[in-house]
Amino acid sequence: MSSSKLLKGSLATIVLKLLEENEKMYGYEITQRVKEITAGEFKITEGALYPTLHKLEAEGMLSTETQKVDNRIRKYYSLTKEGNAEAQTKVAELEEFLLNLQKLLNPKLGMG
Amino acid sequence: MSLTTEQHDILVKYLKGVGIGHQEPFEEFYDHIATAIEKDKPEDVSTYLREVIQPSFGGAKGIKKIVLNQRKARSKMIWKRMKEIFFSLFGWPAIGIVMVSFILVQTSFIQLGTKFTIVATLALGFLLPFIILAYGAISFHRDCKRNNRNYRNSDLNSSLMLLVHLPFSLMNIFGNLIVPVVIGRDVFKHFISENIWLSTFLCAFALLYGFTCLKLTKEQFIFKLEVA
Repeated sequence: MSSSKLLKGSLATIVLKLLEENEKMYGYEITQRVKEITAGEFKITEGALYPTLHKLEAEGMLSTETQKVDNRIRKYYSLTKEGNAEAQTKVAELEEFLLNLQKLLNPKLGMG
Repeated sequence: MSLTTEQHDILVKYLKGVGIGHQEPFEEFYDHIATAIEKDKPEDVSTYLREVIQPSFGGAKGIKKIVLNQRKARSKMIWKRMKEIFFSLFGWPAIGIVMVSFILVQTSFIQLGTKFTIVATLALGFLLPFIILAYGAISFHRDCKRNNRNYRNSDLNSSLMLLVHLPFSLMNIFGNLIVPVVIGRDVFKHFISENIWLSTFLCAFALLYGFTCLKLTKEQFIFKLEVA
């Protein structure tokens, strides 16, 4: 399985986590931030990012605002109160999952 | 750094070509792709769009799917908000509006007659929001044109229009197809005059639906472009 398939399942958590750390972000900024943090190892495609952003917005996890930048409209996403709580829960869930995965894949490391 | 006029034209043509004609997806994707062009500085924008941008969106089909799914999600949000507004009318103190609607309809039946009351309440409840939204859509269209925008409609406005248009269409189908063909006009008239409680309920519902649509329009409808 390619890393992009593994990434897809965690995309909502990644977006929530990034928005938790940054007050507001726009779509392109999110893709570049992920690329930057992972030194180009993870590449979020727009085809996966936008449905995730729109879904989170529809669920009330994200709120949006627009700003005029360079003579065009930029849409910024930020966490709502519910989104903030969801970000913490999702990150904790993913951390626990990774820990258990670690135990399975490398029991010696898991014991330590 | 902004896009050159040539780059802007190619990008606008591309977005229109893949079927993005409404405000929200147009602005979001335009900004995303324009930022990418500014950063990557490709020599040939058309090739860059075809070979870099389009595949990352999942092809032209992928772009359309994103737009369609966002439209569906937005419609869902509008329906949810509409239900919230409608059912909030049955809580305190808004229940007063429901009670006044029923009293007005009942009084009108007695004072002004059944036919007049039905026509008046349907016009107020279903036609008035439709006219206001139609005016809003025209106003938005003209505003986009005046500001040289590359779209003429908004997803949000379209979703609201559908909601307001729905009872209007159902009423048309019922009045012009089901009543004359299936039920019969005379039978229907007799049924209405015999069951005054049903007419009262329908008229009051029309008024409450209209009130809900107007409140929703005030909250969400974009009459004018926000020019920063």
